[in-house]
Amino acid sequence: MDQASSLRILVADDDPVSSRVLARALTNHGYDSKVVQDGIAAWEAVSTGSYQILITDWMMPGLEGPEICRRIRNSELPFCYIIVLTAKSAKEDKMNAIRAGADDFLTKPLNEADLVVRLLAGGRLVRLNRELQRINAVLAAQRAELATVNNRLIVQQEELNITLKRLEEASRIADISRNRFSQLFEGLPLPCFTVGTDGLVYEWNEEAATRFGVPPHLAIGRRPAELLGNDLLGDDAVRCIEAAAQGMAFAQGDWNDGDQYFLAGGYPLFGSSGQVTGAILSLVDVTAQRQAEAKLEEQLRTINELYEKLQSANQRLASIASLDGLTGIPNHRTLLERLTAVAEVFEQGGEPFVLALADVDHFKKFNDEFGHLAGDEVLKQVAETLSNATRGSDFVARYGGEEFAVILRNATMDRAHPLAERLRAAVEALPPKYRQVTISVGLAEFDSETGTTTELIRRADAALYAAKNAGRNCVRAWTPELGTQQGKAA
Amino acid sequence: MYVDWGFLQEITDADASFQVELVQEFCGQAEMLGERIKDAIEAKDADALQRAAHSLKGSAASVGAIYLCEAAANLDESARRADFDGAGERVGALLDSLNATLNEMRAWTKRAA
Repeated sequence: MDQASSLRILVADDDPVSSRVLARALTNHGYDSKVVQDGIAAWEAVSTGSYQILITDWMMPGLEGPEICRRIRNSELPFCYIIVLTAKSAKEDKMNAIRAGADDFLTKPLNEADLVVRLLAGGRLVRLNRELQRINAVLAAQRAELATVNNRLIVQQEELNITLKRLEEASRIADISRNRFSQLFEGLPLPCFTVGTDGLVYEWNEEAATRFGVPPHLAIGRRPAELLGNDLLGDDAVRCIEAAAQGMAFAQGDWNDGDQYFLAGGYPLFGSSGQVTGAILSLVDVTAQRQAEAKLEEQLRTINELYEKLQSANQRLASIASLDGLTGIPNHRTLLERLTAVAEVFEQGGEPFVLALADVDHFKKFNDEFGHLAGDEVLKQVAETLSNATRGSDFVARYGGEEFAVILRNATMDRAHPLAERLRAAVEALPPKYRQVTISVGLAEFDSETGTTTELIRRADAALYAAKNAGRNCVRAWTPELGTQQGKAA
Repeated sequence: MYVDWGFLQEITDADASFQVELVQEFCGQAEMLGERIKDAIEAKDADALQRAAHSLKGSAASVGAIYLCEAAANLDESARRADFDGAGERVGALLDSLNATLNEMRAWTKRAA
């Protein structure tokens, strides 16, 4: 009786007699049942959803049978098999009951066999309904799952569409860009080619074809060394290609075949995952530049040679000149020649003469203070002053440095002294441009006792030294006491 | 014989104590409905009359009180039509039938006890 025991039956009948009979019959057949006496209690019990079969009277206080049927059918309650109990057998009433939602009828007085048959039929329907509900629930769950999966698919489809569109756009741009780069590569005014990691040429632009006389279809797939010739493609260039093809960020090499010079630049090419796939090489023709550099070097060398020649010529010129380059008056060499000549004249009974050595006072200090150009200026001024302040027969020369010599001819010491004093005064009277310039003067007379011009110069020098010692800006004549010891005082 | 005792025997599976219980239940119910019917006639309440007659018909049918059942059915029909003239005649027959049935049942109950 498990079919029966799995069902709970509610009996709604206000007639205690017939409900007792019914309840007893249900219990006897193993059904679990409950009896209520009116329609309201019946609806309250049924609406808990815990009764699978309702056996209800037609007329009851509170709610009548058809109304309970209607309420159950209009509710969301699980399936309930409704049997209407009625004493009536009128067809019209039965139609009303069916319309209200009843499933079957039992006529009073109760026939137990009829009851059992109807309960079996009702139980089967309840079980079928339960199964149907279970299947429905499973179907609903599956439908929900399908909807979820479908939604996910729709989302994925949309994402895929977006990705696809982006890819198409990227591919379009990549096509354009590839096309542009290939045009750029082809149109570059530089010989340009690429090599793979296998060292073979993959691309070879028009300029390379023109410059090296090898069309692309003959160049591609061969080694650059075969195409360019080993004499052109030296070790440096081979290293450049290899370095670039091994991924060095930048490689540069120089090569030439004697007539043409190229500067090679190599850049590695990378694949999509960053691996090195080869290198692109470009060659810049630097022949004109190299030739210009060589020409310039040649010209520089010529200029250097000319300069050296000029230097030695100048030296030679200076050595054979008689005038001092700076002051324009006779130089040291001319002075010595003149002294020798004048001395010879004196030896042969000619006139006496005095040698005056004049030295600019504090000249080194002046140079240090005002510079050598100012010093040169002073020397020129002194030379000019001395020349102007002497007689026509006298001879003024630059002895060296800031020292001048004057040969006072046809003069003994007492005649020479005022002449020398005049020279000193003339210099002292010069308008001072930087500072007042003075000279110290030493005098020595050449006589039979003097002997040589060298001795004469020594004596004049000693006298000059004495003038310096005497406080400068003065004239001193040589006396035997001075001797010929050398002493220097600027 | 106002009661079909065979029917009662059948529906109770010859369970004597249930029969007694059922008969006593019926007697109480029938007396109460008889009073309601009288009140309804007096008050000329067709609806109350019909309800009471209908209930009595069902209860009578359940215990096999065949004549009472028939009388109640007749009254039920009259009340449904609000036919108080017919109902007055039928109420007399019903009350007679009710008294006879109750008497028979009480006698039976005494015997059974």
